[in-house]
Amino acid sequence: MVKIVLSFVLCFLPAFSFIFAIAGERTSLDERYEVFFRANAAYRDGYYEKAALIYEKLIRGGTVGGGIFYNLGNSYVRMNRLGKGVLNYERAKRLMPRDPDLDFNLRYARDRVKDRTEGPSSPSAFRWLHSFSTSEVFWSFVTINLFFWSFLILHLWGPSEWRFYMLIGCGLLWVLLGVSAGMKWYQETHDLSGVVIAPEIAIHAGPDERDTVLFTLHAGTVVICEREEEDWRLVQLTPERRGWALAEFIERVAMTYIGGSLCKDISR
Amino acid sequence: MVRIIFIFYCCMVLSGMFSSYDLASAEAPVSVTLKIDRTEATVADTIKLVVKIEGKKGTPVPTISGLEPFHVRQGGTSSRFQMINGRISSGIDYIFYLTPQKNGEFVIGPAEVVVKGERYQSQTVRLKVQDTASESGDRKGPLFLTASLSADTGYVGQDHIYVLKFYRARKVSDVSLVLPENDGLSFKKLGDHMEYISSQNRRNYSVIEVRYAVTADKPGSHIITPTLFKMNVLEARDGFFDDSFFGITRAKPLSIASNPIELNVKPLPEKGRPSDFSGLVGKFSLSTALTPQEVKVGASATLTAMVSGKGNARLIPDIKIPEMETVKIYADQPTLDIQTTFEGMAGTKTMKWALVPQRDGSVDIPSMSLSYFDPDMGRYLRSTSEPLTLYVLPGDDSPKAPAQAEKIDIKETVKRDVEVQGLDILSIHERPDALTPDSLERLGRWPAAGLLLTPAFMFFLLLGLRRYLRPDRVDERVRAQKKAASKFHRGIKSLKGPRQLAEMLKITNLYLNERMGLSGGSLTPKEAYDILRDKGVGEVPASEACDILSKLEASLYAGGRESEHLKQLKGSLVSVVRKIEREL
Repeated sequence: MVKIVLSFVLCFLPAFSFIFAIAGERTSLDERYEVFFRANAAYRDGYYEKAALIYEKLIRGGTVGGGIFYNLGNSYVRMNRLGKGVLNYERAKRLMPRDPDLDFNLRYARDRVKDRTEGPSSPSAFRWLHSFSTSEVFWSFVTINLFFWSFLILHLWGPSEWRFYMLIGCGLLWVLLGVSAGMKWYQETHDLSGVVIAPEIAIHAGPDERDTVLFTLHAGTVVICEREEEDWRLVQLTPERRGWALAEFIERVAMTYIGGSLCKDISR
Repeated sequence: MVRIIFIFYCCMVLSGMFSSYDLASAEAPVSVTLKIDRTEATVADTIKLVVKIEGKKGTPVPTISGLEPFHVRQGGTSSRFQMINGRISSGIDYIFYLTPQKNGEFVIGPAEVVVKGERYQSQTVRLKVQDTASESGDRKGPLFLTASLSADTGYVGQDHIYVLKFYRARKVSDVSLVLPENDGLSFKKLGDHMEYISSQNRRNYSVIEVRYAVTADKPGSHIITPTLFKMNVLEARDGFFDDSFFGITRAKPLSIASNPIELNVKPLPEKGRPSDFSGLVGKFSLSTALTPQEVKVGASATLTAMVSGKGNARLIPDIKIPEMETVKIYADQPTLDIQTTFEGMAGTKTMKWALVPQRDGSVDIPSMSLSYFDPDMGRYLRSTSEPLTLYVLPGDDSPKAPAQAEKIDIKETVKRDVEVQGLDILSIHERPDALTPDSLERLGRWPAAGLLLTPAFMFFLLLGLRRYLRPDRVDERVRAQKKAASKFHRGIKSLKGPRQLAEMLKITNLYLNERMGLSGGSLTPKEAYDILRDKGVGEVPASEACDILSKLEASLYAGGRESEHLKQLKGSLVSVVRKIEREL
């Protein structure tokens, strides 16, 4: 019994340290709640621009939950800035993929987008991963990882039948969740989707204003951003519809780009 | 054990199947249907009659009325047992062959059967028997086609039955039918085709009978041009293969045309045409029903009007219900059921209304009517339903206010699609957890990696410590002891060549030295025995080891190097080492 407790304590040690770290952050969170409530009040009173500025300030101030991106999306939709609205809903979707309010509003916003498109697809075997956030997949893997290694440690003290079967079970789950976590990480780091934020943009044949205009896109349309050259970005709607657009009119959804993009947007 | 479970499982499944069969067959309702293979025949024909009894297999032979004008021959029985979607059904078919004794139109049936004291009856069928001469005329040859109409005169909108009979006394394949395209006439197929044997001009033919309802939409004389039957006639080849055994035949394409028929269509008379006439031609009747006939104020009663009959039923109009002052009326969607049988087209239209009385007392529901044209009588007729009365009792909270202001409690709620009245986004998230950052984001990349790697690190750390701290791991001699057996087995396996015996002895000595922690050197069998006994090995394995060593030495120095002998020695040696390992 002592061995079992010791094994789990050793393996769960990092989890305990994480809990203590979260408790330390409590104070700074309390201050941010005040700002959050102020933004909500501004939204309720119809000051959508002010609400959006505060939500963006919160996002710049540190990592936030998907609810803030959802609220920011709502503020932009109310301001008739559909592109920014869809962009923030898409970002919120990455953090809270099963939120019914978000699904409703995103559908509402997509219905108002002028261009008819099909969203970027991922391999069908891993499509279910879109229903889970990266955090959820990560913590599931962390949990099974702890159990897996704990049973291995217990195995050091001598094998027993039940431990063997638990180890096999945990091992299978460990592989499954490990692959899922890896795939989720890949999806996130290779998320090339972007949203048109200007009301209408021209897509050129090359990265120059003088190049032929191939087609136009409208606010809220989701595209795949391929590469950048100076101020231009090569985008793809479908394999038949691709071309160059000014980078400032298309914003990447990927979270790693959030900080920089928002600063740029607010300073304008 | 597995076998016992499997047998038990099979028994359970089988018993479950049979018990469900008993239940299903016990509960299945008994029904009797009567069928004949044609509706028209000649006195020379034999008609097949089948009485189908569903739901029971062991029933007595049914009694059939109306068989007096026929010579009846029993054709045997055929039992059925079916399991469809887990439901078991069984039944029996009684087959009879009828030969008409005289001409005329006969009603056959009903067939009656008694099951457990209960009488079950079938429907009746009609059969028209005519003289052979009137049917055949001057038709000759092995293949011919006839066409006939139920009546050669009629009215616009009236259904006439167009009967095509294809007689064949030769084998044919790929039979297809090309209907005539006449302006102003429409054809609708009635039921499935029938196949039977018929006698014409003292020759037996297989007959395919197909029927269509022909309707004219304008008056005048219409010629129904010939219908074509296209087919391949199969002919046996000459020569060696001119034998049905080989089944090799030649197909010759052939088209056969029917006789043209004239149809005189009269317009529907203007005289006496009712104002509500909808173009309905045939024989129809209207009936109404009210359930329940007594309700409380605010509760609903259902008024059902049903129009059914033969003719162009698709034109049955929606019956209008008269306005009633103290009753609110909610109409249901009418349903129209069209049946196409060999006898013609028929249909039933059902209309329902929910009546919600607003005041107590009695409500008179006036009679409703339907007008149609009867082609047999050549005039317009009206079918009128009986007037009904709805008795309304005071409600639980008997309303006194006028009917318009009352709140009605309708029991049968009419479901409707939810109407969208506006479109907007949902409100913002105001709960504090909206601000709560994503836990992974807060944790950061390196701590997350640490969290994942720490358990593995802990495991390898403990593994290392365990190896380092355990004393038997430190002692080289002990390590050698542990590995001695596996080293011995590897050595024995790899033995080859002419020096096998010497190598075998060497490996055995090495094993005994390492395993017993000795300094080295060759052991005599006696020494080996003593050492093994000192180390706690039992008498038997120690003696066996001593014995083997003696044999090895004897073989090495005194001969006995045959492969069979070597193999035997190897086996004994391995066995003894295993026994020693178990005891140490």
